[in-house]
Amino acid sequence: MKNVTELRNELSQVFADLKSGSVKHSDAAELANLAGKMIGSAKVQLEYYALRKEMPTISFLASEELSLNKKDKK
Amino acid sequence: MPYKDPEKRRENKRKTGRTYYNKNKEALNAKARERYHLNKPPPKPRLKKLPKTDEEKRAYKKEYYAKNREKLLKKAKERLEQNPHYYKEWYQKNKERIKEQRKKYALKNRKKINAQSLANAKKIFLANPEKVRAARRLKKAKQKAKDPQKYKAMLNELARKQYKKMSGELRDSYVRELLVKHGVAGRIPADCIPQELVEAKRVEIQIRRYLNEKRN
Repeated sequence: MKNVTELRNELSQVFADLKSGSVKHSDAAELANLAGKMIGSAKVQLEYYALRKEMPTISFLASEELSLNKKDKK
Repeated sequence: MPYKDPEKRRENKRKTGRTYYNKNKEALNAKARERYHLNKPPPKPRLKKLPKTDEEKRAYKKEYYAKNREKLLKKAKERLEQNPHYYKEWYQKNKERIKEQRKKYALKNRKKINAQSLANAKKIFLANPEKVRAARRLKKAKQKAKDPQKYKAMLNELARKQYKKMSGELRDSYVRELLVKHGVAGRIPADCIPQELVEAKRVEIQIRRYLNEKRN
């Protein structure tokens, strides 16, 4: 799992498996928790660069162009 | 009357079993038939099939009003001439009944009415957007001036409803807001969050909600 797109696909798969019953509830809960942590860390990274007014390419979010400069508009 | 000729009398007796005959029988029968046809009562008018369903009733009323428009208008005018407050009084008398009826109708056709009123509102708005916006602003200002606290409560209620809807449907704006809500380093604008991250978060929330639902 290299980026957020893959994470989403993986999570979607987990959700489908959970519904069909091939994944345990406890396992799915752990996976969702872990995914939440990953998303949170990406968010912190975003915030950090936003505060420093930097616009680097974050590899985890590489599939999406960052638009941190929008903050200046507000 | 019997036949004078005995042979004929015998023959008649043999044929009919009676001594007497009625030579005008045929003519009398014909007359009776004619009389019956002449005096036959006119056929009963066939009753028009009464409307049963609400739609049929509405169609029937519409047809009736269209057919008797002139007559009804004339009658209404006469009533108003006699008593200028006739319809106001009538409404006051039947107010409760009419309100009940309206409520029932609205309950039954709410979806249809909503769709219709929305379509009408859209039409009016598209015809003159600036005017409609000005009217809305004026209405809001009036409400605010009348009772500021009530207005505030109304706005809060609307916001709560909107939020509930957004969170229920997991809209983008809701997920974005959720992501930036508890910022560690500081709150950044919600539109800084990349769409991919929003979508990943959405799936995560979906899983959490599903698990919570199952647990309960």
